[in-house]
Amino acid sequence: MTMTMPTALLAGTAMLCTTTAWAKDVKVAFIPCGQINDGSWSEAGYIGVKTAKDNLAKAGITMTIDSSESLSPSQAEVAARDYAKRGYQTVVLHCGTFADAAYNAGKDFPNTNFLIAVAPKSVKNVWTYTPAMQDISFIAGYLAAKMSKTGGVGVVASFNFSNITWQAEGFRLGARYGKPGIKTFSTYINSFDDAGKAKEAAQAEIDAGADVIYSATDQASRGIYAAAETNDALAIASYSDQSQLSPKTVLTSALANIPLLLDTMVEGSVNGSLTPDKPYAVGMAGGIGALAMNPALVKTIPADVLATVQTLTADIKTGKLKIPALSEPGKSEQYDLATLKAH
Amino acid sequence: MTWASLLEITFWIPLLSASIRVATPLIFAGLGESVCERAGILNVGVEGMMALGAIAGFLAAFWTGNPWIGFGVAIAVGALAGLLFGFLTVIRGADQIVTGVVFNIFALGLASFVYARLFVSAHSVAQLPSIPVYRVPTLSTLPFVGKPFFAQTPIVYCAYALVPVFWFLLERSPWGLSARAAGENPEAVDSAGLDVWRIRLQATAIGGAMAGLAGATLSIAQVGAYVDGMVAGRGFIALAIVVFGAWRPWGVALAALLFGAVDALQLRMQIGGSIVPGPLLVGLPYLLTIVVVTLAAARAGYPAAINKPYARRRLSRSRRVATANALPAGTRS
Repeated sequence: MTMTMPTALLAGTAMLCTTTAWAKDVKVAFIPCGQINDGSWSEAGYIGVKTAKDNLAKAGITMTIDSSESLSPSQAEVAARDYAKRGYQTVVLHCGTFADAAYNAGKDFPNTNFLIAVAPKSVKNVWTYTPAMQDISFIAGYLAAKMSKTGGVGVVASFNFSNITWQAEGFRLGARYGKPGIKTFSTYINSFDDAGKAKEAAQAEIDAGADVIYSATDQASRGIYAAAETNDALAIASYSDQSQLSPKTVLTSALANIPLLLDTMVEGSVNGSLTPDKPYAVGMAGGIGALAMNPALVKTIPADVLATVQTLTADIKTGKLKIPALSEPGKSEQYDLATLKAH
Repeated sequence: MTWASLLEITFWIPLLSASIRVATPLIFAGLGESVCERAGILNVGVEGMMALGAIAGFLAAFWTGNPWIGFGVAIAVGALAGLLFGFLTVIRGADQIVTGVVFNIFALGLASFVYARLFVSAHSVAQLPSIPVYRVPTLSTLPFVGKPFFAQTPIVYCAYALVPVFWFLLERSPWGLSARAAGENPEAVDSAGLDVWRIRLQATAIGGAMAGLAGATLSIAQVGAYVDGMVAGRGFIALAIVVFGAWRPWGVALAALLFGAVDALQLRMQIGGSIVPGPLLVGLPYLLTIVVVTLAAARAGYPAAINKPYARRRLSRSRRVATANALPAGTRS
């Protein structure tokens, strides 16, 4: 637990003050998978919580944040209960493996709101939030298909699990939308960090005829870029802008905007505006998902393709085009593209 | 993958190439660990030593611009880590498994800390240029085996070269004989006037150096970057490989190749409508590890004195003479 002495004092002072002048003081706890300066998932979440704090301050609500980092799921539950016991209004469990911790603690502390990343359901005072990456992945797939010279594209994903599979299948569906009859592949490497395995997975897809590889994994994506470099293939990054990591191969990055998602959820929780029992799977309609083009490679994309990317973005945002959440590898191959537009 | 593609040579050649690539770090780590274990030291810290090799090698290669300096530094750092492990287990007599586990936690944390300090906070890009494939003249044009075996990066050829070197070192050299004896019957080695501690320390240094090289192979040769957690359990697979390869260098190399082949195959089988369920495929290398260890456990071939600290310095002269006299005549010097 990383609650330092000054923060503990501050929290104590805040508690004393709640009964007097500052009626709108709230305490929020943030429990991510990793560390709040990991340059990745955990840091992005923390930035979102801090944004919520700044935004709430404008509305006259003073919010304090405490965090406990790099915990195991069982330690996370202990920490979550501890925060709830100490009167925290919201406890954010920013890690998919903490789902049980959230549901268990939620049952025993009905007066605390628990926010849990990528979990199956929202129940009472426990809300789940998921970046629905299939929307932006669909557009990435469309772009990949248009840029492919070999008639094959692939995705290397971390785990065959929930929104990661939605992401991979969204990409494959988008590729089919861009070029009907294109070959699409997906490989799961069961790791966020095994860059060596990611490289071999990308190489296997390249050997099978793919020349644009989409990364649906975290730091392991370095291996995908290495494979793309040695084979003169293209890569598409995920979650954050990674074009500077491999300027010659990363065509674009599909941004997840985790900070916005966390900001929305925390503000909603503090303001009491979250809908009971609603799972928040937020896609492009909610501002989650955008493409950050690589300035060095964007000129290689034909103008009409870029124009269609704009149209697709607008259509998905307005709900004219609805991208399904497919949670089984290969489902996109059987999906009827005509039904996309029927919505 | 479909059944039909299994009949095509265009499926098998890239598969074999990939198997060798995946096997290379496992061969290095496995060779080093087999020396350690034959000398009576079970180094469970291979995983952590690989991570140290990966970060140290990567940093050296990044700063000097020369990948070979990177490999050299990784070997040196690995050897130092091995010596530290040896100091704790051989000289201080600490439990080898507990020390190994603690070592892993320490080394993985240290590697991650160093990297975060140097790069993540600075948001600078740390990337090495990829090492080009070297096609061995004539050999790489051989049918079927030419491309997979002889159109690889130079580090793969180092792995080929080191297998016979380790075979000679362990099975044919005088040092190998005393190392093996130190793993089976250290009292006999001691009474023959040889220093068990020195032999075991040399073995842990070799084991650490090879683990360092294995880690650097991942970061320098394969990915061209250091990523936290990139060793991803390969150190533990190396431990299984040593058992499966019956502690012999050629066996270890073949076992590593088998693991490489299974991993490369499962990645290829996932592509485009597999004939086997996906989750089973992803778990294949781990399943194989369990099967292999179970099968090998039946053979029970661990060196007799493994994980037994040898308290040479504590024996009084008279007890040593007594121990020596208690040994069968053939083993006495």
